Amino acid sequence: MEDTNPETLPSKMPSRKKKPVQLSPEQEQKILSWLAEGMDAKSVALLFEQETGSATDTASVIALWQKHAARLHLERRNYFAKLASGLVDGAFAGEQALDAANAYLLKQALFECLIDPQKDPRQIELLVKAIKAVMPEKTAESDAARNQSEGLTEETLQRIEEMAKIL
Amino acid sequence: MTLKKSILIALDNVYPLLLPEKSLHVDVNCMLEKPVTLTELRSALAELESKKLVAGICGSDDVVKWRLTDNGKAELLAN
Repeated sequence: MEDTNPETLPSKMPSRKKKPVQLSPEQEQKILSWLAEGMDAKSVALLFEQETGSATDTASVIALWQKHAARLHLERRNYFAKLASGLVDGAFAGEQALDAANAYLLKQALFECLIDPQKDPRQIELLVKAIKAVMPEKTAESDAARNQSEGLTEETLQRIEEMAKIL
Repeated sequence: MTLKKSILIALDNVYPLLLPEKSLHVDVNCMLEKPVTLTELRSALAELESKKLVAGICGSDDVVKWRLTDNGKAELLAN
């Protein structure tokens, strides 16, 4: 038989739920570690109440996890940006150093591969090969040729002397 | 936090690299209390681009990528 007594209806019953408390950083860490171990939000809320005597609800536990996950996500994004830059700078240092435009191109491609699991990492390999193909090979002969071109030739010296006479 | 400020922060987070629009949408929603749609994001980006605070580049794969400009960086530091 249906209960029609207003005093015994669930909506009229006084709530036995405790008001969720403001969590301390240590309590937040405890809850996050339980969630990270795979416990569901409802069990975590119950366990927290049993262990500490302080009340928390499932919604608060979920909200805490979402805030934590969002912060981790942004930190990871920042880490991948720095990693891409660091890897390219480290791999192409000294003699192998790339010009700024190619280095930026490679960093961007690497960053996109790191943040998007659907990107094909072989693109990086192809890009590195393409950059190396257009880079002039640094050899002793090319260095000598460059030094010679930078140095003053007899013809240049003669022209400077002529210019000095005119002046 | 406003949508525009969250865009600047998300792009500054990967500066000087470009962030694909899809990833920017995720990052911005990580920071906002109320999630925004891609249309709302694009509208805000267009406004920021007109003020030269961000720059958008459309790649060969039709994916738009966004970057914080020097003006955008200065705006972020000022506020």
